[in-house]
Amino acid sequence: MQFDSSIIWQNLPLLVSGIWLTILLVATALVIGIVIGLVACAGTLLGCGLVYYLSVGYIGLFRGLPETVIIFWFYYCAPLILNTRLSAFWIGTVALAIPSGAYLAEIFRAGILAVPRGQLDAARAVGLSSFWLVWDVIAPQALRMMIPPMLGILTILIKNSALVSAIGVEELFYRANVLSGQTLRHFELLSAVAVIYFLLILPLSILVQRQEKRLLAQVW
Amino acid sequence: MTKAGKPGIWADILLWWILPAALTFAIVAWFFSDVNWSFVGGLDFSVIYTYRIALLQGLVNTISITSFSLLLGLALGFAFACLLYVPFAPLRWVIVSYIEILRDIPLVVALFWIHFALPFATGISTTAFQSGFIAMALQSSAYLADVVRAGIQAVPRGQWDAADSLGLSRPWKWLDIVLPQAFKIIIPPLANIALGYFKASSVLALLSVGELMTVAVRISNYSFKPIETLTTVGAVYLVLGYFLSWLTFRVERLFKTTQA
Repeated sequence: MQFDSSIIWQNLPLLVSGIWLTILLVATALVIGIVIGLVACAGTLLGCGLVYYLSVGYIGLFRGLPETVIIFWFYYCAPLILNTRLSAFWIGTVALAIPSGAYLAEIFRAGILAVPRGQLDAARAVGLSSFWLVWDVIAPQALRMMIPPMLGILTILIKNSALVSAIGVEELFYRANVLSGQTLRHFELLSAVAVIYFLLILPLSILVQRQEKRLLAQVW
Repeated sequence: MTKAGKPGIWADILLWWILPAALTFAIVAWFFSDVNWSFVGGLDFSVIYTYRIALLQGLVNTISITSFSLLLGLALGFAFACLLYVPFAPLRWVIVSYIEILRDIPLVVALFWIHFALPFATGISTTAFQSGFIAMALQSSAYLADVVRAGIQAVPRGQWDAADSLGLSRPWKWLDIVLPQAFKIIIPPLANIALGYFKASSVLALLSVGELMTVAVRISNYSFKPIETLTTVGAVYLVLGYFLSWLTFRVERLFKTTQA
């Protein structure tokens, strides 16, 4: 059996449109996830009573559930019990964003708690108000700690975005499946898609490894 | 807002207490007003009892495919990590790129590639279960090779020197000194990966491999009761996952006390 690369070039426009939708899906989910993560992180660090327990419960629930279960639940179950109707794209986006929000909340929390206690006391001692304390003292130091794990979450989001093909969102993996079903050239198309995912994730993976090394060098 | 000076207590209260509380309340209130309560009242969980045998079989399949593929992945991971120490650069490049490639491809893509594309190249077609097993074993071997490598690096330098000064030959140095200590070090990350693959095995449902999630999707399509089945199966994953992490916590403590 021969590797016929012309199949890939013929269907390139469809694959490229799939890549764009994957990127759009991941970017939207990341933005929503960061907002949710910030709220949940604030809830665990500052909230009391109901707010605290809601945040902790949310993080515990969505870190423990498999991605596939969440996506299928949102697609098959949410329209039955909720009156709001969303398109498959938005269901996929939300189903990707909600668990990543839980992971991001933990990352934010760890980053903030890693800022030495003395920094806080010093900022209070010079009389910074709480807004400037967060903006000028905690955020810059915490952000530096958060960047590698956040890039890790981004790679996980790209990998999980392939799962959304199961609910009919026409992203890269969906395109590849449909095209290989039509042309019966699974070998060429699935290999091409694997290479595309690899090329999307490789730069991020290298960046994460480099950043982690640099952080470790600073710490030691 | 001034940068220094008056603490601004009312701004603090607004920013940290009233705003989050209002936001939480708004989200919770919207969610509850959006729920179709009459439908929720009509949920019928007896479907779980009707299909209990199928669900149990699915759970057994999930556990067996996860544990067997992880065992193979761990063996391969140990082999790759040890081969990284062979002083032959091309072999090292091959292993490093194998690890990087498998880590950077989504599990579903690897699964479909093994199931649909690989038979074109090899001429041997695999069943869905075999494809799922191979995909999980290969991918976990890449992650585990990385973990084992880090574990070997964390074995104190003095242990290597001591083994050398005792005149142990190379196989005994690795089998008796380095690897047992590396194994103790990697138990926590190993447990993390095992937990991750227990959850990730639900991905195999996209190929209808026959594990728990596949069974759940089949039942929900057949009985038109997605909420009951998917919620129950989600709860099973959640409870078993937390049970596993509690278990590894206990095992870790056990190892720590015997080590000291």
